[in-house]
Parts: sequence; C-alpha cells; structure tokens
Amino acid sequence: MRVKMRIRRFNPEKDSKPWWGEYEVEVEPTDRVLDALHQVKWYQDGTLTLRRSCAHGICGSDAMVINGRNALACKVLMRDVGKVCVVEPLRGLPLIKDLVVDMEPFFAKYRAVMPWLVNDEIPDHGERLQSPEARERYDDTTKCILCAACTTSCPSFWANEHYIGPAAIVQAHRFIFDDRDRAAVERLRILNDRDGVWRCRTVFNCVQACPREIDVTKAIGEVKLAILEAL
Amino acid sequence: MGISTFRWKTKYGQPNWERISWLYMRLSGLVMFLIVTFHLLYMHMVVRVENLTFQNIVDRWNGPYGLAWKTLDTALLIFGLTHGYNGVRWSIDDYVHHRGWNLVLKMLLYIVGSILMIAGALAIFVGPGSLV
Amino acid sequence: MGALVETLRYVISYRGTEGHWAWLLHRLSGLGIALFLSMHIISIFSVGLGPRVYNFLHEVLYVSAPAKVLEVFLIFGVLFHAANGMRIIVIDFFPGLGKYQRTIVRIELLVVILVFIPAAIITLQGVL
Repeated sequence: MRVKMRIRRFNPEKDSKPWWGEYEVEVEPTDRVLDALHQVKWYQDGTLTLRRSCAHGICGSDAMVINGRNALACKVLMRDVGKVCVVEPLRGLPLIKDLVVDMEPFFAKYRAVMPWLVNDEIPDHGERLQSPEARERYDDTTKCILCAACTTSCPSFWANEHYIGPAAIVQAHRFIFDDRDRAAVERLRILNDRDGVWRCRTVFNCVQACPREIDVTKAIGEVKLAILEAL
Repeated sequence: MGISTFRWKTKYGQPNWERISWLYMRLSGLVMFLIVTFHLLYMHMVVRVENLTFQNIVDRWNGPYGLAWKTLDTALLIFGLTHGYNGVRWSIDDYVHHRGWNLVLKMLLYIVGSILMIAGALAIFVGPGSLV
Repeated sequence: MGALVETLRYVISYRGTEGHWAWLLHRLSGLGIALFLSMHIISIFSVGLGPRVYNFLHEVLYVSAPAKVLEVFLIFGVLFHAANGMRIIVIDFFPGLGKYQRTIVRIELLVVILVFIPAAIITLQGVL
C-alpha cells in the first residue's frame, strides 16, 4: 500500500523553525511505522534523524507522536495509520533534530525519585527473599521501559516542564510498594512536592500512551493515597 | 525551543500545601455536588430566575426557614468561592511561569476573593436593604 | 506567552481519549463558573443596597435574553463539572476503577445531557 509520510523536520544548523517534510512510501500493511521511516531515511532522504535501537518495543528509544498520539514507532502497524501518517517528535522536551528530543530533563526526574532498592539491613540467608504475593503488588510498574511516551502525553507536563511526570511516579511506585525497600517515606516526601503527584489531574492520556500497557493513573492514584496516609 | 532552555529544578520534596489543597478540592467538591446541584435546580427550575426579585429574597431569608436558607447560602459562598478560586490558582500555577506575573495574578486573586467573601457575608448577615 | 500558546496547541491537537476531553471541559467549565460566581456574589451583595439596585441588576444580569442564553451554558457547565468532579473523586479514592474510566465518562456525559436538555428547554421557554 502507498502511504504519504508527513514528518516534522528540524535541523538546528539550517532551520529557524520546524517544517513538514512529505514522502511517499510503498509498504506492506503489516509493516510498522518504523519501517516506513527507515524507507524514507535509507532510500529517499538520508538526513532524516530518528532514534531507535532494538526495534521490538522493549528499548523505549523510538517514542514519537504518530497521528497526534504518543506511541512507539516500532509497535504501530501501517495498516492502522491510514493513507497519511503524520509523525512528530515528543512534546514538551527540548528538540535536538528532526524526531530526536533531549531526554535529559526526563531522566533528571527519573533520578529524583531514587529509582534503586534502599535497604541497609543484612539479610538472613544471603539474598532478600520475597513472596509471590508481595512481588505481585508492584508487578505492573516493573514493566516501564522509560520511553517517555506517558510523560510527554500529559497536559500537566506540557504546561509545566518541572512537573515530575507519570514515568517518574511509576518508577517510584515500583519501589514504594516493594516490601524489601526501606525508603518509601523518603520517596513519598519527594513526590509530595509542589511539582509532584498533585499536578496530576487524572487525564488518563498516560494510560493510553503507554506501550507496555501499564495502568499509569492507577499507580499515581495509589501513590497519592499512600502520601495522604504516610505524611 | 533549544536544549539550553530547560531550567533545572534542583530538588523535589520542598514543604508545601498542595496535599491539603488537593484534599480540600475533593471534600468541598463532594459537599457542593449536593448543595450546588440543589441550589441550581431549585432556583432555576422550581422558583425560576425571573421570580428571584428583591421581595422573594426578603421573604426567604426572613421566613420560617430563614436560618436554614442563610446557612445554605453561607455554605455555598464559602465552599464555592474557595473551591472556585483555588481552581483558578491551580490554573495560574499551571500556565503562568513568569515569577512576577504569577505573583501579581495570585495576589490579585486573593484580594478579589477576600473582597467577594466579605461582600457575600455582608449581603447574607446584614439584612436586605440595610447597607444604605 | 509563546509557551502558553504552544501548550494550548498541544492540548487541542493531541488525539487523547475521553479523559483528555473531559479534563479540558472540566477546566474550561470550572474557570467559567468561577467567573460567573464572582459576578453572582456582587449581584447578591446588592441585596443589601435595597430593591432598586438589586432589581435593576437582576433584570440585566439574569432575566434579559442574552443572560438567558448564557444561563444555558452555565447550567451545562455546572452539571458537567459536578458529574465529572464526582468521577474524579471516585477514581481518586478507588484507583482500580481507572480502567473503566472511558465507560464512566460516557455514562456521565449521558446523564448530564439527560438532565441538561429539559433544564435548557425550561430556561429558554420565555425567550424563544
């Protein structure tokens, strides 16, 4: 099938502002948007810049706005996008070139929630055992691949670059509800910030955008209730 | 937008009132779900707006259920104004990031809110026609 | 200002689901109601100034034909804000219900419209 790719282009060395590039591609219905972008880059315009690594929906590199909605280019099939496929870089993060945005502000918020296990107690038998039920408690939020699709789909984040964002809260949730961890209160205190969980307005764009189908708003809701209880 | 435009926020977790504010919006929302819906449907559908004359208000506030009506109106004033203006404050914090403008708008909001609170309370408690 | 325009462009052009549009309508209706409330308190304050001032303001702000049309928007705004607010509160305290939120928004909108249509007809009876 023939599809017209409308791609948001920007070269900081040449362009004063972004513009739309249009490319015709011939693809199979079962090809992915990433394959169409590759066709453009490999056979039509080598200057097109995009970020991707594994191309199988697990590295989280190729999140972008596809037909007005955040998704991984490697998980959206061409048969689902129609005759015209509009591709833009993620919103609310500084644009570097074409479809590549600066992820550093996003990772800075990820680091802010202490995304590592904190526990100074010495375990009885060499390793910290956990019951299947206790593991189940935070199973959903372990699936996050830090692609930033959720955070950059959030109106609160578009409005305020300091809002810590759904991804960081999901990562905090993964440790707050881990019974081996001992820093839950510290993380809840961090998320109780003016730009923390309270900027979430339960818009649910994050749930729709998440390529890993994490119930993001549920995780945020549980963190809010935990803050109300603990602090 | 360029890479250099991001202003770093160094630390999350500073003390603030947002938790109380968030909880208050929910609690006042629950209360208002009952009283505002009642107020709206009663005044607009039962009494009808064109009949809400001066005399109608005098009769209601000085009638046998005057105290109940005044209590309801006071509750509407307090919850409505605080809930509404807190919502406006959230919007200002969401969209106006220039420190000066943010402060000016919020100060203006607090001043107008206080004046309205006093004006509303005067109307309810001083009595119809007694302010001249 | 440029950042605000960019943000609003994002809000309008993002193809979100029910929750996105419900949030936008919730915020717009909230700001509208806050504006109305400010006007409303001033007009009620005029009760203290005697019948002449009050009845004049009442006639202009509530009974005139343009006011009646605005009243229809107010009724929709209040009904939607109330119903949507309840949805938000319920999901906030029972986060597990979030997975049904798209259905809940649809039901909520249906209920609002069912109450709104007769209310709008009654309101506009004198005008049309």
